Amino acid sequence: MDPKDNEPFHREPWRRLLRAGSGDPSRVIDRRILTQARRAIEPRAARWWLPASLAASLLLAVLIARWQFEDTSAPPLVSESDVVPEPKTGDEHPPAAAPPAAAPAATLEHAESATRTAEDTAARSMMHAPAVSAAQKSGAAADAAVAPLTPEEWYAQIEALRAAGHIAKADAELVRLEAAYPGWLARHRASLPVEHD
Amino acid sequence: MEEADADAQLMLRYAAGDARAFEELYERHRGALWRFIQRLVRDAGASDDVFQESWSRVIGSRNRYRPTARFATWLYRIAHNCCVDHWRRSGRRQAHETPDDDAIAAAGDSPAGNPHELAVEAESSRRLAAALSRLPEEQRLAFLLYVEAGLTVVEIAELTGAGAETAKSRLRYAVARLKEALGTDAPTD
Repeated sequence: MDPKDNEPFHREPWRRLLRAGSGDPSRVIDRRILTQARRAIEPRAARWWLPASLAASLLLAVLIARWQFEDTSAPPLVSESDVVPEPKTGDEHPPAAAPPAAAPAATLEHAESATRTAEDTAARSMMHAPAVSAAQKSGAAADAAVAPLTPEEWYAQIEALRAAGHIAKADAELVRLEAAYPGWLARHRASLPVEHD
Repeated sequence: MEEADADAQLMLRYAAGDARAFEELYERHRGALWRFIQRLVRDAGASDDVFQESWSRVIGSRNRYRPTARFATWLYRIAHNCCVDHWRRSGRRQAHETPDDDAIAAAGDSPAGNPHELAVEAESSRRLAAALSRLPEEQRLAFLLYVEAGLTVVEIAELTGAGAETAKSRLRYAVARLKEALGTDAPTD
């Protein structure tokens, strides 16, 4: 093609006139495009860190939440709340005539737990009624102490612990029961009906 | 042709990972391409979107780019395709539309210079914008590709899928109508 045919008229004067009436793309658009261009050629390895760090943060958050949950749901020490409140009935053996000195051992943990509860209650009542006297507080703590458990009641608590899955605690309590009421456990087991296959 | 070769080299360097090459390429073509799209699409918000979409496609096609034609031809083909896609999405064609008032209103901007000359130039520019918007689409496209994009008749023919003689005719008719609209303010050859 004749070069004149390929460029039939001078474009520069028209270009000048066209550009006189127009602007340019905004700097916002410029930034977007240039950022996109830069990111498109970034090595893939340089970009992996962001999703990896997000995943690691998420995993850490989940683990911490689980740890916290497991910690708060750890089984407490033996207390009345662990007990299935159905002491064994029809027990033919009368309660052992345990000396009063043995009873505190049986109820020690129970009393400690009850005392803690009482102390919490006392502390709370202190928050709400700071004028409460010391005598009243100690009285409240004393009132919270429970009567000693019979071996049957104690054994019922142990069974409840075992049923709840707290095997180690149940075994420990069993040892204490045996120490507090020597021979009672053997008698109790002997009194249970034998199961035939 | 040296400048065209330089554009192709910049694009190849960008494809190889040189971000600065793209920045230079973008700086060279951003204004003209934006005005080209603005004149075709004639909708300020949409023309920004089409402009960004065009460059997105350039970026996305960097690994497939082969300098078999001038970079500008390739770039404006992409931009034209984006305009066509925009028209399809919006469900209209830019045949004989009324002048774009926003474009005409924006035509008041002018570079610094003699106030009287600036005023005359601004007025001529407004009239050119109005006349351009009244051209049939094919003629307006040919004119913009020639003037704004700097393509030759052969390149315009290739891009638009028309023959060279058809492209030349469209240019000739476009310039004739624009000269008629501008009268004595029309540029002389």
